[in-house]
Amino acid sequence: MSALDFVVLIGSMLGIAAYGIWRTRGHRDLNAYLHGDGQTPWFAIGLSVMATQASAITFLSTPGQGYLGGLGFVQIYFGVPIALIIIAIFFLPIFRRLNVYTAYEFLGRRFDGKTRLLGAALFLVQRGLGAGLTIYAPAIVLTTVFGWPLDLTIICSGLLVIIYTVAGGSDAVTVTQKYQIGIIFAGMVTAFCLLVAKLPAGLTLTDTLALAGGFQKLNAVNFSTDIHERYTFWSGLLGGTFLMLSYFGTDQSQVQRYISGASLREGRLGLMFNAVCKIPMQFSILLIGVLIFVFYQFEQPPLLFNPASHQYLAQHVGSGQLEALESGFQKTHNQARQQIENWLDARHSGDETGARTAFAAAAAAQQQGETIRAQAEKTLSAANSGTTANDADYVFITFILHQLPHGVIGLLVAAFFAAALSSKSAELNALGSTTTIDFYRHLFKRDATDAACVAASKWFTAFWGLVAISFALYAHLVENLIQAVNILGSIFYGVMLGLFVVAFFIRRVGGTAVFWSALTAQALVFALYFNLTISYLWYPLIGCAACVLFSLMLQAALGATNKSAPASLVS
Amino acid sequence: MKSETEETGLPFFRSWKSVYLFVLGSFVFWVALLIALTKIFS
Repeated sequence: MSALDFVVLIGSMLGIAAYGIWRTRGHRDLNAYLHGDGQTPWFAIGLSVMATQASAITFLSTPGQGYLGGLGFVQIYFGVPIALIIIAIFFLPIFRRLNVYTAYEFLGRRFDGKTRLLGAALFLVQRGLGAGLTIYAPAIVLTTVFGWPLDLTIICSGLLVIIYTVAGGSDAVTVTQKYQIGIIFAGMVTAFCLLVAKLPAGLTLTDTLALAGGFQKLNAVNFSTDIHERYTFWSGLLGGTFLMLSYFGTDQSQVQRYISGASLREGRLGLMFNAVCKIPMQFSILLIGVLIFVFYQFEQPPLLFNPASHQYLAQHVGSGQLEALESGFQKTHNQARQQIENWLDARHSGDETGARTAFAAAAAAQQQGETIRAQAEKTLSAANSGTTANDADYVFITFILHQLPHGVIGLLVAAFFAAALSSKSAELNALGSTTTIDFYRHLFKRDATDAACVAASKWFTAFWGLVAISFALYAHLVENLIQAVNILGSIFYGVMLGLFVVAFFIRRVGGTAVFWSALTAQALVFALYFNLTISYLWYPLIGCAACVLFSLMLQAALGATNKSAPASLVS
Repeated sequence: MKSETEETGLPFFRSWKSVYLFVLGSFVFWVALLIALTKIFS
């Protein structure tokens, strides 16, 4: 990176953080600190919800997924519109009517204290454990590529987000996210335009789509009913709806964003903004990856995009073996490129048979190249005890670094950091709020003043920020823990959602029945996870269904509750 | 339900039901577009 890139990166990150602190100076009371000033318009809520969900790894890795696997990943978002409509109709009005600070406070009012604590604890465990990842994941990619010190990058970005989140609370998160998402969009649109401009001059839009489609990169929708396939229309629509309902409806990092709107209307429109924009946004990011794939049909791509993997192979498997792999890969790429050019000529001259023959030859050469790449990954895995290249994370950043001009590189790295800081700040804000409202004020200091709660919230936010930094600093020692944290998140969400579904829709179920049912359902999900190999998208559905079913059965066994839930607490 | 009667404040969508239908319509549009991409170019 050049000096210009660093000026763009550091200037935009510090500038946005300083603006967030300045704009939210003087916020003293608890409501303003946790809910904001109550003036947040719908588009700010919409951008905030979007920025909270989209972490840096979304923008770093998703183009790589498009490059390697095509558009199929977009199916995971098919549940978003349906989930957000359900939340706008049923969840949001009740959260607002009760004027709760956290989603789990609602569980306390609807059921009892132990169910509230269970919901809050499930959130703190999964979000707290994953807190380091939103800092670590982009830091490891960017430091590997640019050679920066990993620890320093983690500490600097971590401290920056702690400072402005602690200082300004919920409003600082919303204010900064607005500008951070602006930088992200500016960076992604610039990259898209420059990428299109870099494609060969004779390549038309239909040529590009035909080329990508011929290599199966445009297979966006898969109607397979095989539950072992990870991304299908059905897993996206059914499992995805439950996953997104769990995330947007019960995860405090999201709930805190949309309950802070000036009115119910602003919250709903903010959610609908995301319901409309999420699929096209993810499609566009994946399309960047597909276009990078097309670009690299005419330019030599590296054997492995992850430079650390390449370096490891060079050092540990002998230069002869690596050179053989690289020369074989280069040879197959040149063959594929020649055949693609033949295909283009035949296509443009209307020679369908020639085009078909040339494309078949290009596909065969490309397949050979992929076999060599797979062999390199296998060699790496054998030499380094199961380590994988994680190439998807490095495709986009490699393209940026080698193909885009200075200044734009800085803008895109700023976009990745903006994404990391925006999702991290919302997480810290939610962790601090939940610890303060559902544990500190509920369990230890019921008579705490607003000032004491604001002070406690600041301390808890800083505490979770330091936990996140510590986790991120040691994450490289426990790679499997990262995987475990991601899995933990997906298997906890279903039961969380089950608690809320019972709370909203099943009036006759009381706190004791739902509490024990949630614990049993969680045990069942754990047991299924260790015994089945189905896509993780199904676990939120299974966990939710089990929690609801067990609650009904247990309540029937316990007999009618002494008091039904008040009408104001159910939909 | 009081919250349902709150105005949307949007020029072409006076009721929340119409907003939700628009969102579902845009979802169907994108899924149809993605299916078309899959069928035409694969």
